[in-house]
Amino acid sequence: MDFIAQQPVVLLAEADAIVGIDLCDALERAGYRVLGPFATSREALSAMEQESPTLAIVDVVLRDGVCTALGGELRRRGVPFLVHSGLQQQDESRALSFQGVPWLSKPALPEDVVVLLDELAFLPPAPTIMEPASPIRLMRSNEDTSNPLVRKLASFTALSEADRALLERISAETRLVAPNTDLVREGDKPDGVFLVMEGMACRHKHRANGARQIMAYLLPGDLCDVDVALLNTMDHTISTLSACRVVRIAPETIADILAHHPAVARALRMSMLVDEATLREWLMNVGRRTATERIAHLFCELLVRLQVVGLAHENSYALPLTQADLADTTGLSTVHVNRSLQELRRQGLIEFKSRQLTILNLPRLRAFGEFKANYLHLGDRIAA
Amino acid sequence: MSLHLQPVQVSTGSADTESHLVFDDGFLVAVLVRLSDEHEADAGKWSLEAGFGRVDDPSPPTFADLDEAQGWISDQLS
Repeated sequence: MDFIAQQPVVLLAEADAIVGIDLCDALERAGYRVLGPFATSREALSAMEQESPTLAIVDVVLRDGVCTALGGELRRRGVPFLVHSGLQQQDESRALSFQGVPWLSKPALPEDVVVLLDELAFLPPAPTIMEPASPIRLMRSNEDTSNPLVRKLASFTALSEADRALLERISAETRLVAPNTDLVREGDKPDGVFLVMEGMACRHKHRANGARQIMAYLLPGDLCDVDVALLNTMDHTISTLSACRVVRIAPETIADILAHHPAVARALRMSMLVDEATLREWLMNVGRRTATERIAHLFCELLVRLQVVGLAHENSYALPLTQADLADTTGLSTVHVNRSLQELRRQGLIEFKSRQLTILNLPRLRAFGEFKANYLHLGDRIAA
Repeated sequence: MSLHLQPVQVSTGSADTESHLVFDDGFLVAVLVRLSDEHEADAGKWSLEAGFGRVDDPSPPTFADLDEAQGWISDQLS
């Protein structure tokens, strides 16, 4: 558990005092300790003589000029860093010595800087070959809609106004379903595709003795099995966990979308790939992680997925699950789930009250659960 | 078949420490741990912390008391 106890230290080199204070606040809220902000390279280098940071955020131009020496020193020490600058990475001769470094154009939202820094914290120490993390882009482009289906699919590919209108239309007719209700059972003939718009549902299977394994969570914006019409019978059951608003989309509607709306079809295929990737990650969880790591990993995943659809705020989200649900998800007993929750609480990483989960220290929770969001392919338009 | 219980402390990484090793004819077959107050409604119950051989169970049960636990373990062994 020693890794948990280490609070990452971020060196902040920022010429603008106001920007520096804003960033400082956001970093501290996210669980980092900040060295700085320093307005000059000289001050930053001098501070590094006292204490070597874990990570760094630098502006290219500081009060005493272009901070080539500071960049060089960070590289020499193997400290991953990102650039937050008004300069353009590609165009400026002054930016030359920072080519290949993750780059945010100033002014970036402090939250975006934190997200990128979180990514850096868990990548191998090779800052010169890293690409900027991409979730940042989708958070902005998506804030103009509250429809979780639109938000989710727009995170995979660019959608036109017509595409968005189509998705709004097919997701409009929701019905309210009580908690723990089967939407479709193992052995049934599939009849359309279920879309969750509110609440949480899951895919699961039962043993003869009643033991349940949950294989996936369906969160708002998640569709089940776009191609399910190809199958004669369901090989697993889909049930609500909490009260849900769901839509049943007719197979003909899906067929029409796949045939005539290429951008939406592409996003749906991406979404299926991500479902498979998530299943692989969950298999890793139940097979190769300890009880507490499994829970930590799951909570980190849920945060990212709920952020995409606008349902997480300040690292906090509604988690309408019982300990038995968590146990059946992570292949643990409720006793072990309870112990793990207590352990994460004791470490100051989470708070779980009244079905509301708050992650108190995201960098440490991520480090502990070895959570990397790569398998969610957020905004990764190249991979599709 | 008669089971023999030996009180021990188990380091579960939690407040659950009061435990018993369960022997069957000299062989260790199970470890039972008493659930602490951290488990609220389940506090005071006994949890199958580990079961060996036929007592192993991927969904380990909890028991209201040691008698119930021993009954279940005997059933698994019979």
